[in-house]
Amino acid sequence: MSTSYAAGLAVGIAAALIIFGICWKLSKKTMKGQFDERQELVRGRGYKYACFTLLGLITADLLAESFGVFETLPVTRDLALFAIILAGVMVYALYCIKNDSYFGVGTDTRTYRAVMWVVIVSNAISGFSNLRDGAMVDGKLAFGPCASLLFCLAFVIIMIALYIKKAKLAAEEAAEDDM
Amino acid sequence: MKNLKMKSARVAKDLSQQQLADLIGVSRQTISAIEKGDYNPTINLCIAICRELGKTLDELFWEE
Repeated sequence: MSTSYAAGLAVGIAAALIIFGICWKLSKKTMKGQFDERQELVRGRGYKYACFTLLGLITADLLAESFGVFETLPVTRDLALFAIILAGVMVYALYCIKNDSYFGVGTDTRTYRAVMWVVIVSNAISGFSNLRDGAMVDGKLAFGPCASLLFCLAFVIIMIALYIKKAKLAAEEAAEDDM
Repeated sequence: MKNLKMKSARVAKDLSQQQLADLIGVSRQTISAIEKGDYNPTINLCIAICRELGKTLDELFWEE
């Protein structure tokens, strides 16, 4: 890992932590975005399913590594591990979205959606610009060129799930108003 | 089991699910889940609902 790459990584993580800290402080101040008891319960179950998903996939990864399966797969192990982490995050996010617990009570979801679009677009730009140099290293899909696109894909799936849920809730609310 | 008593008490007060949810500080989907019988609320939430709807715990949540 080059020094400039490591410095960029450190700055990126520090910036993300600072933004997260500011958002957390603001949400505490306004009391918006708090989850009610049913949502907390659902999120707890979501954590559980995500944890079991991670355990299962990490076990599969370890077995694949010990049996030398990665030598035959067109994917590097670090990309596979990144995909496993994303799979855990996806299980958690999609379970929470399905059960109306992704956003807290009174959260302005438009801001979140806008932030997610920024994440999707920035990762897509980064991913496609990396692809120009080639996605394969030694005949395998490598972490560097593919991680951004994988991250982008995960967020696109979450966004689609959010829009489907939004449409379902709108229909449900309209039906409730008619009663 | 659906909680029709809670639903009728809410409708009698001319409140939508969203309005009741806002008064109590929970999401509309939580109120919907309680009325559909998909979620059993804690005693604290039951009391909050009873207070807003002007009913007792027995009147809203006791099954005969």
